[in-house]
Amino acid sequence: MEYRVAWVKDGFPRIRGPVWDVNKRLADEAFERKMKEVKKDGPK
Amino acid sequence: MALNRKLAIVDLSRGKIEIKSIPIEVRKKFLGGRGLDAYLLYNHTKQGCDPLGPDNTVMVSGGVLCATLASATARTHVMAKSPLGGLLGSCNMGGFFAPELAWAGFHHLVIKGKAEKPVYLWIRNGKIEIRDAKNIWGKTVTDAQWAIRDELGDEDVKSLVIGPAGENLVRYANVMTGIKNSGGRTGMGAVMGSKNLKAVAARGTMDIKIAYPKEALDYNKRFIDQITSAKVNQTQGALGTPFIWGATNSWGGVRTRNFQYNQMLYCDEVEPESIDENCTETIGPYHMTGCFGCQVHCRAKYKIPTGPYAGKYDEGPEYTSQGAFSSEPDIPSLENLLVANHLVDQWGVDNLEIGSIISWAMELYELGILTNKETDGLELRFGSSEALLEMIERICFRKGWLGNVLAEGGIIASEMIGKNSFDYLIQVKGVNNLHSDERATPALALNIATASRGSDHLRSRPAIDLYHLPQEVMRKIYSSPVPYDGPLSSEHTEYIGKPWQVFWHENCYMGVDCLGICKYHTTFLGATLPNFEDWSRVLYYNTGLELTPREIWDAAVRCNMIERLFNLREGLTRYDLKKGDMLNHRYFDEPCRRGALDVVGRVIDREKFEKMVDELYEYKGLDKNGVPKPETLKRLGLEKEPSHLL
Repeated sequence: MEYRVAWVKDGFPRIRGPVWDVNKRLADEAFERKMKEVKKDGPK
Repeated sequence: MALNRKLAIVDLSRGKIEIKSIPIEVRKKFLGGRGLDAYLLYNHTKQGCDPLGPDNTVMVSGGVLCATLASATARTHVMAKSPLGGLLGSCNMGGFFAPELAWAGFHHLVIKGKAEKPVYLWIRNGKIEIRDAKNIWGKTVTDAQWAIRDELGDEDVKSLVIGPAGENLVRYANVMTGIKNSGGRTGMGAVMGSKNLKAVAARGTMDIKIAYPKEALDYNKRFIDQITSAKVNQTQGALGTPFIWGATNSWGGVRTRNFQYNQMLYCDEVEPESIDENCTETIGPYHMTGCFGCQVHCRAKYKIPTGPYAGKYDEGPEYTSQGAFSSEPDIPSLENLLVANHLVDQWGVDNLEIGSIISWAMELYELGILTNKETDGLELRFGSSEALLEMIERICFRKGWLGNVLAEGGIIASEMIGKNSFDYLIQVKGVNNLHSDERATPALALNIATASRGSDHLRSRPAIDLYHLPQEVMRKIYSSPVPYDGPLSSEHTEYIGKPWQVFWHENCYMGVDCLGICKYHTTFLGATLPNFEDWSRVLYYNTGLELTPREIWDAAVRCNMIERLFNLREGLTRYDLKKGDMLNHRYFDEPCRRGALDVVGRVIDREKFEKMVDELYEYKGLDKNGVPKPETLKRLGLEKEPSHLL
């Protein structure tokens, strides 16, 4: 199945399949880092 | 003339019908559609009445431009006191009903009382008849419409109907027309059901005289160019509204597992492109279809390809169904999505509300607040299509303890379930939020918190805030038809300037709801689409009603205020978690875990949120408690409401 996001740009590839794992890993790392920053600075 | 369409007051208890003209002074103040309905609701509905009792009043209407030469004026509006939140109930749908009602001579119906047995209204060229619905009661949405056509011997009859959910008084039952044009949110179908009113059927051949036909046609050409050249509408015409879900999910703005995550992972099967490619086996050669007078054609048609429902025809699924049946319960199955969409369309229940409330129940089950005892042994877990489809049926037919409880809506259900279940319920004013997650978008959070019919994206959402528009474009949009020289920010995670945007969109959407135009033909999703200046001309060319863009804005402000007056009369207070302009604590306390890296970790800042509400209240002319100041009511000409002019 060919995916596309034509509403952004014709021929623009869509993130799918194993890329979700990369997406998840990056989000998990960012979340952990930001939560540490919040703890260090204390709640706003 | 469009302006000579009448208003009818139907008393179902006494079987009496009174037909009235709508004075031009009332038109100028409240225009038509939702705005005039709000005036009628405030004037005709008894304070504190039981929403499912005979004292509630149902308004049905088309907009003032309905069935004229203007584009996309198909919208039908239904309003009453909501059985879901006890405040304003309002729903709006496309299709073909409102134009038929206008050709039959009417713009507005006010339906009171309760019939002794099931009935439906038959409206034909200026006449209204209350008919026995014994052959129609109990039928699904589509079957009911065909049964009415068969009974009346006319295939061109258009009907508003309720399905089994409305008959069973599910507090978020829809009013429907066509296969899937849905008047969802706030349970207007349950109010019709409580009155034993199965349907309103219309057929008309009374011409509507256009005031300046040549100018109206010429100007509409410009409208059509604007509408069809916009990339957002071209995409909707190809993929339908699911493209919105696909885009929003990619950056992390979609609720998943109730409110635990803000992005659905591994969802290839339910992405818009997948739906587009799988929903091609359908009736007729065209994959997409549209409403009366529309050039966008955003509605897909499909047959369910596999499983026990294989071969069943339906339309959609809209992005709201993707959210309700895919991301919120975390079920990445196309068949599940298409079947769930089909069931809610046929049984006539709000997809947003039922998907959201089942996902809430799934979280409660996984937390141990609900157990197998309450679910009658059903494993109500995230990811289970079997559990989702079973619960849809139990709710629509009030089967079992939990089906019956969830049919009562989130607030009553949380009181019946007890413990701390309410803490997990994502709602405002008793209405569950749609599937969007607003923790990274303060403007959208302000919109759902303060929308008149509860948590809702179609009342004041500045959706174009997500486009990061250049400052000069934003300034152009938001400085007209009233001047605004305050701050504006192109950054969607910011708080600055957002209250004005929400205020502007609230009036924009009220304006089009009064005119009867679809929001996809406005700045809802496209910065280049028609606006107040265009509507002023279209209104004049089609109806002869001469209002400046500023006067249309003023009418919209007035109509929004009368909705506010109704809500205040029925118990709205600013900080009330069940009836106020407030968000669930999870928006402030639980950070986003998924999506784009600048979205991860975000929450709504409580202090900044309160300041936004204060600022919005200022623009609306409310005091710190959200109550209109006396000078505001005087300026809007509402100081003597209810005035009972109609």
